Amino acid sequence: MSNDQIIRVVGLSHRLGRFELAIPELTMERGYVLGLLGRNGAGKSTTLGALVGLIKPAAGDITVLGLPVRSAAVEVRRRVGFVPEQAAFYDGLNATQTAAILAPFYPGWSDKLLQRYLTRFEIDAKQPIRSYSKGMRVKLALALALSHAPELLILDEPTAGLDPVVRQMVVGEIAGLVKDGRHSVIISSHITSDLAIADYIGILDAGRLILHDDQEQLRERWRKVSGATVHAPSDPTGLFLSYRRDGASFAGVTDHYSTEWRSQVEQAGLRLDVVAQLTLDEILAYATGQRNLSDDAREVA
Amino acid sequence: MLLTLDHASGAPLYQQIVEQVRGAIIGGRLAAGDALPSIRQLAADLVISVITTKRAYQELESQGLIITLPGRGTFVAEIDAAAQYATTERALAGQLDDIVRQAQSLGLSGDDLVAMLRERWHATAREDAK
Repeated sequence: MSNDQIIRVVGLSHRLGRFELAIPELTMERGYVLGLLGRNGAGKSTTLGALVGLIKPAAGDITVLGLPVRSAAVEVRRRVGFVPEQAAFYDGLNATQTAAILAPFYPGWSDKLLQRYLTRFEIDAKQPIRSYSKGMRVKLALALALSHAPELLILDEPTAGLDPVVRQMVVGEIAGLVKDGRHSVIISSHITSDLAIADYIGILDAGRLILHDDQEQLRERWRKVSGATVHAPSDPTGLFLSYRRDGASFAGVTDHYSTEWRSQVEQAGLRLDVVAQLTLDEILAYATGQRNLSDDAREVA
Repeated sequence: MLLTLDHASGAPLYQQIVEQVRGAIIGGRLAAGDALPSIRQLAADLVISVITTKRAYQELESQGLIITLPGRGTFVAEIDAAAQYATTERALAGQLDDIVRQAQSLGLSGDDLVAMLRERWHATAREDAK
């Protein structure tokens, strides 16, 4: 395990009215993609804003690219590619004019990179931004963020409201970026299918990081199962995150699936007939308690 | 090396990679010594996570199908036919387990299932003989 930590968050806490964000610890190694999931208002944007110093948390230490965000926020923003949920542009300007304003701020700026991304994203640099579609605006924001060759790219809901073709282009770009092992990406998204590229998944709920793991572990441990009750079962609910029994059949969801867990389930008098992986959407729903088998009669795992 | 992943199938992505690469090696489409893309290259090509790809390669390595030479890359290994046979047999046993469970959920007895298997065996053999 390398000590090359691209971000390190310790004891972060921040209050906005009734909302309170609290992240005791969050770290990430260079060369990977972290996907942040959560419902609206879960704290995703606040967390990302704190990473680039746009939000100054009441407490906590955040280090990004080895720099303390509290005292070096400007330097962090010069070196991080940040694409906010709603990128603000001067609508009367075109892409070239916008780039000319931004370029001096970034030590890593490259006009060659800009040209490459404008071409790849099919952006007409001469058109005023006011004529852009939503997809075009996102592509421009991404092109500008990538043009200063940032080691860390932070994207807040980049694919929301985009058509599937543009979404795949954005996701493909991220996958290509981390290929060299030197670049890292943090992306928040509602569209969980875009997070197949995420090596790590963090789930935020009501300001708490309720889950943070690598995606393979997550998919290994979270399973939905169904089967039959073989003999009068002892109460198996402790083995499941969510459980439902209907006559001689049962369905359940667990977040700690293993061969050991299987034998415990069998000892409890249940026979497993179907074991399936959950989608990220389902993991999100069960992890946040939005979904529960006991009040969901339609679900048959 | 061209792979196709089905994100909707419910089968783990790493497993889909393992099975397809394995099939290509055992089927002779990839020969001993052939170079495989790097983990990060394959992840970018398939637009999936690096960790998923890493897991697939680890699995292929533990099955003795590929070897990674530090600094040089990943290559198809000289495969041990007997060991591969044993692995294939284990995979078959796993599939049979699934069939047994399905039969149980239908309420079939062991004898019922064996009779059904025998019938399918002969039907398939007749079909193949045509």
